Amino acid sequence: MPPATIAKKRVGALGVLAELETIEPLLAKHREEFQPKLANSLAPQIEKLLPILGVKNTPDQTVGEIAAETARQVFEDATKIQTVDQIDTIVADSLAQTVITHPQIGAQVKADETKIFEKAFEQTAAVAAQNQADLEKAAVLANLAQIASLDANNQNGKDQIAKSTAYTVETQGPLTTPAAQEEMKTTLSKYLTTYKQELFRQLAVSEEAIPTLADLQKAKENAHELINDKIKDFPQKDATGKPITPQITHRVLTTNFAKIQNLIPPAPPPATTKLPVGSGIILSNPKRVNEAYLSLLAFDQEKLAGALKETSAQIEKYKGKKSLNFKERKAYYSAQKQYERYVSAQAFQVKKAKRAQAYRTLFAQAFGGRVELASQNAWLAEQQLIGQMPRVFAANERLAAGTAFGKLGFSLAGFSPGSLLSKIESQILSIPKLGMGMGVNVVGGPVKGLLNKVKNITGAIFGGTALYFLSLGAAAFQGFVAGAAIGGLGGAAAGFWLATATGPLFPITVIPLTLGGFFVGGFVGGLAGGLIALGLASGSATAVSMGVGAGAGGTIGAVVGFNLGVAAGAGIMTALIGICIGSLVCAPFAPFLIAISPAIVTIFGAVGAAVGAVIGTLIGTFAGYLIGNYLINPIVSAIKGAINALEGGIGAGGGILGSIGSFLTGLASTVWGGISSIGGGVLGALTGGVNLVVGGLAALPLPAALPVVLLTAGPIGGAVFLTSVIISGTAVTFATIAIDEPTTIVTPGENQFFTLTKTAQPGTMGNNDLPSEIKFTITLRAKDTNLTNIQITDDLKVQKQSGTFTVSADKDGRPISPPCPGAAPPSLSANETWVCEFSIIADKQPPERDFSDSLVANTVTVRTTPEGQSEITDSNSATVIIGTPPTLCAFLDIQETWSQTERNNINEVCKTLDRSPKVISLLRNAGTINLIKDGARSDGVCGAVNGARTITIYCDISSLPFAKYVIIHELGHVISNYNGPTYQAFRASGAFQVEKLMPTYPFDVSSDPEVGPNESFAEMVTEYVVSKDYNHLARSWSGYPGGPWSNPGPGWTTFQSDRPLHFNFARDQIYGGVSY
Amino acid sequence: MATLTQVARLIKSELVLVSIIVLAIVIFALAIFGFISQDKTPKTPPGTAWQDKIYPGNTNVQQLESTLGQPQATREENGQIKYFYSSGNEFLPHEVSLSNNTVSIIKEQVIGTEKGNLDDYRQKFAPEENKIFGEHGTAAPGYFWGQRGILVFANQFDGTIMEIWYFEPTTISRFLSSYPELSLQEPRHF
Repeated sequence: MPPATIAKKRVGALGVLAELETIEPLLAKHREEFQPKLANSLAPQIEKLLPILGVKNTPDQTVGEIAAETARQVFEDATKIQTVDQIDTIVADSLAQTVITHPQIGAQVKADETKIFEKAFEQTAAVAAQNQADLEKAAVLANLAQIASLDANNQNGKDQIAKSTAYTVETQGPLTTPAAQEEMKTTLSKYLTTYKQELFRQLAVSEEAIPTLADLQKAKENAHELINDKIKDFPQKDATGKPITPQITHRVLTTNFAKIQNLIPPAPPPATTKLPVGSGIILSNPKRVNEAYLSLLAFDQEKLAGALKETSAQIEKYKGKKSLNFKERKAYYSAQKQYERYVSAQAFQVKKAKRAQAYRTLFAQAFGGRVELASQNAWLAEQQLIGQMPRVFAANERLAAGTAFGKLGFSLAGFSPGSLLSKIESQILSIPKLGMGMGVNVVGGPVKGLLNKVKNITGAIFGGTALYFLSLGAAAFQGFVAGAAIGGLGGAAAGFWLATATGPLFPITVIPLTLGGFFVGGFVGGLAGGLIALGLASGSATAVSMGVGAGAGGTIGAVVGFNLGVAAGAGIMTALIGICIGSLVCAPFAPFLIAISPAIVTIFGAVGAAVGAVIGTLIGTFAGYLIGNYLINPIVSAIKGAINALEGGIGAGGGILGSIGSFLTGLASTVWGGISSIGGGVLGALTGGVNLVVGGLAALPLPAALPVVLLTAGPIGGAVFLTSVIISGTAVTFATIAIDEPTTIVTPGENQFFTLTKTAQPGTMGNNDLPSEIKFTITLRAKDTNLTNIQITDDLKVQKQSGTFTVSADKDGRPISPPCPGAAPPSLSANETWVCEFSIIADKQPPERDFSDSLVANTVTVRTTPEGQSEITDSNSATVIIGTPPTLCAFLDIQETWSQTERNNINEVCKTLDRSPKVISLLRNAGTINLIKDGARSDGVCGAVNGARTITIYCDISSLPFAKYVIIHELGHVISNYNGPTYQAFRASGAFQVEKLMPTYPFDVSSDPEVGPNESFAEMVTEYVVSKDYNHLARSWSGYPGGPWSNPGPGWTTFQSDRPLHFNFARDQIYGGVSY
Repeated sequence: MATLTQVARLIKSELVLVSIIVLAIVIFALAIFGFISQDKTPKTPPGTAWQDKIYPGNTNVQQLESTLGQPQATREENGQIKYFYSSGNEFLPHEVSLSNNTVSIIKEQVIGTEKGNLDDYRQKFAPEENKIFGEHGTAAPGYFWGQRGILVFANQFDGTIMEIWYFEPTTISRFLSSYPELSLQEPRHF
């Protein structure tokens, strides 16, 4: 095969058409000639590779098969090669994929995919170099064939244009009118047609003149620039003459399209995206990078559900085939890996919702607060993984995330995974940078190996804590960053100083003591800073006090620990020296022992300081809690009360006080922001970006790095520390920097501002115990905000088979609503608790007060205005069972048309639900519920509710599990129809919003607009009872595989694990904790 | 130079004429004041305002953003831009749809009882014009006041409110044609 030469000639329009038609034959001819040669070159390398992977005595025929298939895949993936230095990666990737998916060999290889790729890379690099000219030619022809096949007039071309337009609109001009979007599509259509003509005119491809990859990229760039100059007709105004989205110029539009379609060379993304300071601490660990990626994928639930469905269908398609060829096996394997990733994303979102939200908070800040843009770019990266990256990247979670967050991610007009993640990429040392021109970046040498380990520990310690603080809010996160930086610097300086005190042992002690000091100091400072900032942001003096306690405790602990360590060390060394002198063998070494004893004593002191700091921090935090909760809060409340009284007395003076307060709050906020930034900067300076200390140190020769770090750290750390002390002191009294609030799941009686509980004693009693006293206790505890305008009401109902009556007075004749009249407080200070107890006598006096066989339900409701907030209402309940309360069947009106078996099953349903007084109480609110049997419906529907409480069953319910499933589902509708607050709480719980429609529901949500949260609610009510017993049909719309919900298939476990929000709501709010 | 006594005499002799002149000046002043006041007071748009200031069909995107700030998230659906603002519940953001740069409909999410009870709206607006059904089915039908531009989804028995939609005043038929997922027929769910 002659080497590729650069084309020089030019052709006209007719020539262009001819070129288009000749690309495919040229590619086919080259494949025919070169593919067997490539296979022959690969075979010896494969023979060497397989034993390395643990596969021995492989027959020649198998080696030949692998070689041939590898060569075939190289041609299939040749479009992924954009530059010469990517060739070796694609060859290695093709071999790795072939080995993994080989029916006999794949099963014998125990190494993971990344390892196989690395080993394959070592073996194939030489083959790629030897055959570079032919491989480059294959890549050029494959790329040209791909471009030639992209036609603006066929469906695929139209789809690609529409997709790119939608992306540009969504990211850069969401208010673009539909008419303008159509114009944009026309522009792209013209662009594509003209681009192709221009590209092929420039390259003038012929069998004798195949361009190089460099020429191809240059021609792509030239053609793109030329067309951009030509197309000037993109409308900047809409039909009414108003300017539309001026940021979408025709260059932006066409460049986005060109990048997606590989019509221009890959370029480094613009560094326009800025992640919050300190993000690198979190993203320094590959596991968390992967979690971050999954959280962004899971944000777009619709897209994720679609991807799950699509990959699931692909898997099923291949499963259904009797045998698979190599190409199909690879596609099957890829689909499985993709499916696993999407399942992981879904599971992460469901099981660790708060953590996922914290990651998204991080990325939202990089996208101007628009999480959906970050998510969209993650999905774009996902597309690129599948279509443009080596397959090992797409199949490996870490590499997938690394691709998305690394410079391999392509950029789109400033907002992109590439631009976002290229910044992160440099911060993620742990992600292997394999191939595609990036080279394997393995930090070598014993010192750097140690540093790598230290880096991993650093990421593990600080990253997890930073993420925790991020989940508490941006303020807490910033506080952590600032505190960790200050503490880390102080600790490192102290550790270095101690190392100098070890004298002759300095070369040995300098690294462990300095880094140890950094870790311990960072831990103490981070905890203190995070808690202080959290307290400032949420107005919690307790949190601030805990933070101050952590810092003070850590410092005191370090000093005490050091002294104890020195004392212990001195004692031990004195004893050892004494023993040594008295020993004939050891005596000659006594002088040496005496010489090094100061260093040993210092090391003991350092260890003591570290242990003391950690213990002191924990003690200090606890002490801070006690001081904040029981000392500062009452004082602050008293001061606030005095200020309020003063404001009331002096009228206009209140405004002045308010102004002073606002000024100080603003000042505190500004300076705090400064501290956070400086802290982040300090961490950045220390850590070489955000790679923490190791990245920075690794960049310099070790002896040179340490003085630089420490000399820089000292003055900055000192200044920042002093500033933080001053500001903390000021801010404890005045500042309430409301940056954001922690996220909460709604549970009755529990909200951001107070906790409300209600208990009853006893919980159960027999009819023979009547008359008897029942004591109810209400506890209202304010959280970190004062509560004002408190109104408390109480509702006590007794449900009997004959009906419901209300109790309105306690045993002493005092009204129970409001409870404890005269004692109910109009306001409650932060962290203050109010308790009210009252008792009633459960009588047996028919007909007015007969409590026998009843369910007593007592609900307390609190309405209040937390200081500086809008009004909030919450309630909680307690129930008492007396005798045998009314069963469900007692208020079910069961028609006579049921068969005996069906009637028995209905009784079983009643017995099942009767176990939960809570669900009976909810159903009781509907009064009498009608249960009717009707003829089968043609649409297959088995049950319906009309008139809010008339249940009609259309199917035979002789099977008990089925009877339970259908009847309880319909009863679920009755519950939502008659219990507005319960249904509202369900909506607020996020179960439907996060987990979507219950997957066992028979119908596709998209096909019926009336199906929504209401159906998910009813399905949840029944699944809580029947999920493990009822043999569900497979649900194609959701992918539920069918059978009882107990590990029914891949990706599914149980109702509780797969849909925890639904499950928890049913357990707590519908069934009152009763298990089935 | 006339003395004060001479001026007093003149006023007294021409009392009727002076009274008429003073009255004319007062009326003119009132007319001017009224005119200016009318110009300065913006005409209240029809319908019901959300957050006191936002009127569907009238408030544009700039006014929306200046009132509520930047949304938490935006999304495009069927050519309509939707802005999402926090409702206090992370799962249920308020949704503001924009059409031609103008607010077309607001879907306010209700948590707790901060928006009162269905009966409060019935007392304020008289009985609803229509009862319609959407994704909450019979758990929370929609109570439609077309002339007021408001639709309240609430439990039909205890009045607990789930959502309130604000829109430009319209008729039920036009409204249903815009939102085919809503129906006057009571759904019979499986």
